[in-house]
Amino acid sequence: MLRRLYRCAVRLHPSSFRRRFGDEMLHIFDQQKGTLAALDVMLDCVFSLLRQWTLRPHTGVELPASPLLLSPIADHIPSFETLDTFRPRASAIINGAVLSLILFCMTVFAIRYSWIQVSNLRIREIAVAPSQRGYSREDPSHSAGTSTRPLTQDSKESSERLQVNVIPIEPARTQTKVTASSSRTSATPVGVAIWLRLELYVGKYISNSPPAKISIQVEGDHLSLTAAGHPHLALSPLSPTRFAIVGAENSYVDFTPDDQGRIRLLSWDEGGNVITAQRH
Amino acid sequence: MPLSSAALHILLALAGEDLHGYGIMQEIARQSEGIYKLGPGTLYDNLRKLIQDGWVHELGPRRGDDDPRRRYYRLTDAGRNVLRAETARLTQVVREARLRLRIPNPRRV
Repeated sequence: MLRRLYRCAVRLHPSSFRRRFGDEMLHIFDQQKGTLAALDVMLDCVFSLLRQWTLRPHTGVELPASPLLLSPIADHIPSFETLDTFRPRASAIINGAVLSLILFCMTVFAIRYSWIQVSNLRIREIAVAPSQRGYSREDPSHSAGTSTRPLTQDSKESSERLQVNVIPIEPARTQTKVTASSSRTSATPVGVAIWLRLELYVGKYISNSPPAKISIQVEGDHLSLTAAGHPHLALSPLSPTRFAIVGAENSYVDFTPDDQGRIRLLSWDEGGNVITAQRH
Repeated sequence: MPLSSAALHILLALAGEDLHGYGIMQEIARQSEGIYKLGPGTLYDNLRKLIQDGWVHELGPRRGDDDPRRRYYRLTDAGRNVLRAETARLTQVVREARLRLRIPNPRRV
């Protein structure tokens, strides 16, 4: 094993040196008795390797090669030959190192004091339907609207999930309503399925001024709103926190979650007349 | 210009007889009483330079040798002159050192 390593180290010497003295070096290695002496010779070979490649120019007169090494290689240890004896001058290597160092410093300096703050570049967010985003589909806090708070607690309470299809109101009118809302909301395509947990919105909401009691319940596959003096109004989701009232123009219901993600507030915008009700 | 220790010892080893590489290493160890040991990489690096300078001549393998890989080397006349000059320089150095350090010269028996 050690002899094989030594032979590899000899093969790594410059070709002129190896062809001339490699066989004799192996002969000397074979004369060593004991592992310690072999390791000593191996260490010397490593130093020789460094010395030959770094300190010794091989552009001088080539010595005659050992005839034994001119024979085909029979030990299956690879070796390489340099096609040209040219080696760069030491001054050229030093110049190259200095130039590389200067270039590196300039690059670091340019990055550090650049006028263009690369780290502050922002990519404009592309608004997509919640079902296409990848995060929890039923989470109203990820709506494109007012809040980013998650509905963590309520989400744990129920595992039932419903798929609610947006109820088409009237294509032209819906488009108008969506455009009138926030820019993010407008990115929610009409008719795209939105996954919601309807029971999160169900409950009674009471307004003090004007006094009103509003009830939200599930009817089939959609929410409905009940209030005194009004018939059952079907709600069509525009986003997880914003619903349109089916059959009514410019009427929306907005749900606002609290810090813990629970729906606490309802805002019923009926053609500019807004009723805000707290959940009970 | 003073010779390096390795070159001096190689020339000194070859001053007596023609030797192959391993024989040079053994002769150097013998002359220095085992204090100075030369590895094959250092040996052939110096031998290469000595051959290029014309101070050592390569004889090649010797007939009848049990190992054909052994190549013998001989000190040339130029190399012998260099060795003489280096010996004289070192003698002068030793003499100067004894004078400065007040070391008495060894008595001749």
